Amino acid sequence: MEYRTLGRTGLEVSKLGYGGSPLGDEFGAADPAEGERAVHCAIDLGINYFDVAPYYGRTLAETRLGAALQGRRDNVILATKCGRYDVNGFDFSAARIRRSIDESLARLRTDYLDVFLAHDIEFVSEKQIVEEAIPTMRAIQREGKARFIGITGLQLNLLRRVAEAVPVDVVLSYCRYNLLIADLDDLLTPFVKEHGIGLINASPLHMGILSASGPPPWHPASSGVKKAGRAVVELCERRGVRASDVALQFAFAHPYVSTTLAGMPAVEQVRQNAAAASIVADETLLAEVLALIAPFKNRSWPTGLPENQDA
Amino acid sequence: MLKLDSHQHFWKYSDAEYGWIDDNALRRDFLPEDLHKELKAAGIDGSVSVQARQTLGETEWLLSLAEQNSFLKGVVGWVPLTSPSVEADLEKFASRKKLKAVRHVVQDEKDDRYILGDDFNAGVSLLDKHGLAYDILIFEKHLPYAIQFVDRHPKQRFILDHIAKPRIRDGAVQPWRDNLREMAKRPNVWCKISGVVTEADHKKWTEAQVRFYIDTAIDAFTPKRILFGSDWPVCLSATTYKNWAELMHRATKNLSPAERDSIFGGAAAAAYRIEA
Repeated sequence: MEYRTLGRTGLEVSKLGYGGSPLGDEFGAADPAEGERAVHCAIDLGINYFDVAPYYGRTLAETRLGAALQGRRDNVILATKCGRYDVNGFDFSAARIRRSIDESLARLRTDYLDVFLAHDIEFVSEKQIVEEAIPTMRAIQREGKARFIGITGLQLNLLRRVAEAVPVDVVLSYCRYNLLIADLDDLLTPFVKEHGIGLINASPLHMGILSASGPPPWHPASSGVKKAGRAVVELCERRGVRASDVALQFAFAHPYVSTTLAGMPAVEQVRQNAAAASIVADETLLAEVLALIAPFKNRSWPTGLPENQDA
Repeated sequence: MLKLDSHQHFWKYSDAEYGWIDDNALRRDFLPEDLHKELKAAGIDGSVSVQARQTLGETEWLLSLAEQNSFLKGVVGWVPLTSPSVEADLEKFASRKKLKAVRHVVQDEKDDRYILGDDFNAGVSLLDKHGLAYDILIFEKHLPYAIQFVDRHPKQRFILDHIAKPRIRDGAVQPWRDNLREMAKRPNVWCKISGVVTEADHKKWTEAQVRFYIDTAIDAFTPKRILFGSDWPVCLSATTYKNWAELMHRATKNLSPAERDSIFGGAAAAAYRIEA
């Protein structure tokens, strides 16, 4: 496994990171015992970055990850989030964030996080994130409960504005850099690189669109994007390659992203993804794939408050 | 309140005596006039000079420097703690008021449990009656043994050097953090925040990276038992005196003035019994 430095945090993170949302049954019911085996397998294969959130499975993912990490906490770089607790449940107040981290630490069975992130910040006012959430998280950091702090969201301009207004250590972006979309580099990468902010890329399969089983029913992308994704999966199948492998390899090739988070609630997925991490994508196939999705490239969707949208 | 740097070294460089120095920039003389400039620029009034060689001659030399330079407020020397002669050696230094503590380079001993040795502990048990503190120089892996060691000497003043050298380079927090907190429960132990950046990658370390370790140490020991130290000139491998001092000022800016006074002098004065 290759390791990369996560910006100025100095943390050396595996280029393939473990995305914890499927442990909360976000992509269909997961077998908890298999999930635990998958976590152990990931550690054994050198994956050291684990990302979760209280929102995933409404605390279920944290509870399961905490159980799986028991006795192995010291071998991993552990990240969770705060501020989002339900589909429409957001609370970035100082009091809630303080309660949130204590609850997360209990579920994760540890007394500190490596990375603590404000989750999906576009759903509340920019002012509250800058003036209340981040300062509270910095105070929590000073108390030794979190080593580094940061922000996550879909809206890149907002992520950049917030990071400009108040220093953060890490930014996590999802669904903005994969085979279907790459505007991360237009809107955010230059800024975070200049400031040494660690950059994490999540959803290399565009939240399941590039998986063999397809996206979950709640997926917000347009039907055109979903169809383009399906066509990519079928093309790769005809070539005898997993689309998920090609998608991961595309993401790993990013020159600044430190770790790419992929959900892998089953041992076989961990093995496949770790194997994909050691191979470079076939250039001819990659060119075909990119040509196939070109008409649907770089299409995101609105999330959060109207004033926080990118376009 | 006297502002003190609780940890610095001097040497007249020679390959034979300082073979452990692997940074070419450090292979030269570092003497009181060099330090004085750094202290002045950083607004610090005085310092504690710590042994680098394990000889009685080192102790004698550091004491002579301190006796000639009033800004050198104390010396952490070396005596042969495992030797039957140690009591006589301590007697010889009895009139040297600037000898405040002794230290042994436990971190370089082959046996990880060296600090629990009977001879070594017999030597340490003599220090308190001579009015001396003991500086604990270890890596984080030695902390469990150092805790047992401290428990054998409940009346002895101990100063833990360099926050017990956590593995910052590897990004590791545990078991250092739990062990440091356990150590901090002993009221006769102080902790120096010094040398920290040299435990990270000398070229690539970042403030964000080392702050967690600094914050953890302050939280564990409380500002009352935290000593600012530079570890100059060893620190020059990874930073400058000024940058390190400024980083520590930023790391303590949310504390009260009394707490900051403690870290930047008061705690060192108490731990080493330095009079203004």
